[in-house]
Amino acid sequence: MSNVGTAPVARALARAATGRDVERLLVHPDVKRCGWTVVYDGDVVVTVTLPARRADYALDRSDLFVLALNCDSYDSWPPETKFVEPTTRSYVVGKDINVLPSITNFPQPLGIHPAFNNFHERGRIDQLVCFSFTRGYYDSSHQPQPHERWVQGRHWLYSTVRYLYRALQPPYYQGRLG
Amino acid sequence: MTNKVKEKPDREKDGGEGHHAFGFTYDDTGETAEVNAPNGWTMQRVIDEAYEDLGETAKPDDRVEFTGAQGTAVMTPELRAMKVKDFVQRGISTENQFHIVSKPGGATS
Repeated sequence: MSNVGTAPVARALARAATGRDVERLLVHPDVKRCGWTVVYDGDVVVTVTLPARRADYALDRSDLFVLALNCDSYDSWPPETKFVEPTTRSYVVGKDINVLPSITNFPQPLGIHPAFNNFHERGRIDQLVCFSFTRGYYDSSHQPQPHERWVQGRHWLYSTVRYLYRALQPPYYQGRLG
Repeated sequence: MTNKVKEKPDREKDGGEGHHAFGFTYDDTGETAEVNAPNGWTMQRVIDEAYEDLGETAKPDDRVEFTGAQGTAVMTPELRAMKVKDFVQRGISTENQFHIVSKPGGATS
């Protein structure tokens, strides 16, 4: 892996790895236990709807967040990970800020930037969900320690989704941003 | 994903009758394991068994988390020193499901 951003993976390889790991994800007990809804487009995009709970919510209340995982560089690199608008499955900078969660006091690294502008790709302004299990982390000015890196064959879609699901639970989740 | 279940046979020696099942997931890999622990074990021993069953080595920054009454909670030194029987009887964890979480790269918010 280089420090100048991610590299493309041949589409057939990315699609095969994505399909394989979607199958693994669908049978993981956390999908049912945590209430995740997984949708796969058959190519390289996976969307996972995650329930979020604030500390003061009743047990049967949650807010839903849709996570789009673009696996076009998978699994050499982690999925490009964004919170997206549920109907369009996209994110427009400056317009869709309410599709992002507000997270505070999360005990491990996590940044959710509505309009990040320091990507390696000059001029790019985009949402950045920032920790080392997202592709955007490597496409911006971040350099993990060796033991913190995404490791092909060890980390997979679950690693990314589970980490963000944790952040959407009490006491960290505070509601929608914006 | 594999699900490893290990039962410890020598319950009398390990603290008398009765044992409890604890589920573990290693969040980096999604691997799961179940530890059937006698009442007399400490929770630290349960955690140690889980690491062994998962084929992982504990890292200094690892967190062992569970769902408690106030949401996500972490296994503190005090909770790790507690006996299995006490941990269960006090209802500290709502599900006896634990997640072992290693620290990824990035900035803390």
